[in-house]
Amino acid sequence: MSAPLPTRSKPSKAALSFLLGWHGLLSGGFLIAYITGEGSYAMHVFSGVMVLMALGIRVLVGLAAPKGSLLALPTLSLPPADQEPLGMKQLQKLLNNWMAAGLLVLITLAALSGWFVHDIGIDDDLHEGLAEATPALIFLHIAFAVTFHLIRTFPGGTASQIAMAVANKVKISKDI
Amino acid sequence: MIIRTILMTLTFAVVIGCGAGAYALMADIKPSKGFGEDRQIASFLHDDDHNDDHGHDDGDD
Repeated sequence: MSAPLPTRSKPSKAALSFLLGWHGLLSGGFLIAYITGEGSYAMHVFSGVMVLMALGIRVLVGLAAPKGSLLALPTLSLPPADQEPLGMKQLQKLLNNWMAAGLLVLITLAALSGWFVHDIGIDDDLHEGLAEATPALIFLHIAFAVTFHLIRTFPGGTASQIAMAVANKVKISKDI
Repeated sequence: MIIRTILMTLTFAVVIGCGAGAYALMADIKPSKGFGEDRQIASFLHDDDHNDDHGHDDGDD
């Protein structure tokens, strides 16, 4: 847990397109599955299977992708305590990795428990509980994505400096 | 990038929604469980009739 975050080479356009498409499949499938949870059972099962398929594809691609690649599964290593303060990109990468891992685990558990409810006929309380907890993490994920996007696009790096000061517990100078 | 991500999510949601709708329609067209049970009952009755007929034929012979 103390290894530094691996540096990534510049992501290819194909890898970015794959991730965008995969994200669309997962989020679109989850959206339909969530909406149809109380409605059509057949639609709920179909979209749930799409979610499971997306998760399976991501795990397979992540395992096959070389270490440090954009498609590799997220690493959860924290920087060593004696390391220099985190840069904005490192902080974003760390938060994104933890967020992605948490979301993937929660959605996988929700989808798998749903499959067991459908296939084996176990009680669906666990599935419903996991499914109801997932949107909270999704909204957090969206909030992080929007915040980092705004920080990057704010002029003069003011927001970036403030965010770094907060993250590294440094006093903010008055000239920022 | 955020806009593209949202658009991709909505596009896939529409596509999966259509696929799920088609799947639900197909599932409705197939015999439901209740209908299947009726068919089982009908088949059971038919077998009984058949057995009866068979027995009747045996009796005739």
